[in-house]
Amino acid sequence: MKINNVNLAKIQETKEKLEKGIWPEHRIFEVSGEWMFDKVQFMGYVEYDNGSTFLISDQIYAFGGNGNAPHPLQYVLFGIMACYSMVFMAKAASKGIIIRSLKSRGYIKVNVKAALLGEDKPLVEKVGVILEVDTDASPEELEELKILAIKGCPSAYFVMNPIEFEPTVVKTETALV
Amino acid sequence: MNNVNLEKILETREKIVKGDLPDYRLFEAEGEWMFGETQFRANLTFENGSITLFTDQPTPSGGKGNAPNPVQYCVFSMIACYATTFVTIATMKGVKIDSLKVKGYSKVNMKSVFEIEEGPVVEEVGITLEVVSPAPMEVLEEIKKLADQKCPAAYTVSHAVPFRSEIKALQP
Repeated sequence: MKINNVNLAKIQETKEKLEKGIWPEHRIFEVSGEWMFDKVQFMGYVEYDNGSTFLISDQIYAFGGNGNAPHPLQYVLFGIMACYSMVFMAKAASKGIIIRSLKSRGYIKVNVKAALLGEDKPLVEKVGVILEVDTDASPEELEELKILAIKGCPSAYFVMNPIEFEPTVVKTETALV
Repeated sequence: MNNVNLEKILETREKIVKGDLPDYRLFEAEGEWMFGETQFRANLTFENGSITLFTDQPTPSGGKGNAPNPVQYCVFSMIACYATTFVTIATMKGVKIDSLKVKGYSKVNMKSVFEIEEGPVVEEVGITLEVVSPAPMEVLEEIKKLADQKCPAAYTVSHAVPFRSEIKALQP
């Protein structure tokens, strides 16, 4: 059964497999990349079910880059907006709520003084996503979907909760990754 | 040096100190839900162009697996942002980087995502950088410490950042 371009039957099947313990509880999402010495600064490689792709990023000119690709934070924003929209649509589908269209706007506010001058203030002050939906659902139903979407969205979780994070630097003669 | 324009950074820094450039930078994007082969797309614009990104859930999560999923974009952004911050700080310190490769991951608890159990949705996030540089390890560690503090993507992972969401229904 498909509602809102979400395959509800597959979700239900996965949920049942998780409950029965025949599907792994955790999923590791891995991405690798490398620093570039050319027209852009960074390139990553991402694999998915039906293919793979290269992603490129670059700082803006004023911050030492070439302005030739999206800034890394634009990808963060895209990931958050998309993730939140997906969970929202999946939760709507699971409740039989039809969404005829969904448009999303998002923002990330960065304190440049904290980043460049070491000002003692939060580096990222706020993140926001606004969804504009065409639906017959009531305001109460939309509010419920919003709460469920926040709860089930890994990208929103990234933002809202502190996660232990300790990068590792390894010095090598020749790169091994 | 290191494909980082140090002169421009110093100029920007000076302008911020003088108040000639704003203290804050707002990154904005717009996207929409798709009803075809992928589930979501957005157009990102940058100084010298624009790009359209597509994303799709894997089949077990209700998509078709026709594009990277959103968490993969978040992990990419994290490794890209951290690498950019690391190399920029190295450049500001006059440290040459001959090669830098990065691997990042995010460990997601699928039982929490599917509402089977309560608990953290994301349990771990990690990055490993492999650096080829003439600089001694102590200097690279010092750069890492600064990158930990100054990378905005790392900041969103390691700190609780206010997240505002709003749902607006189109009026008939």
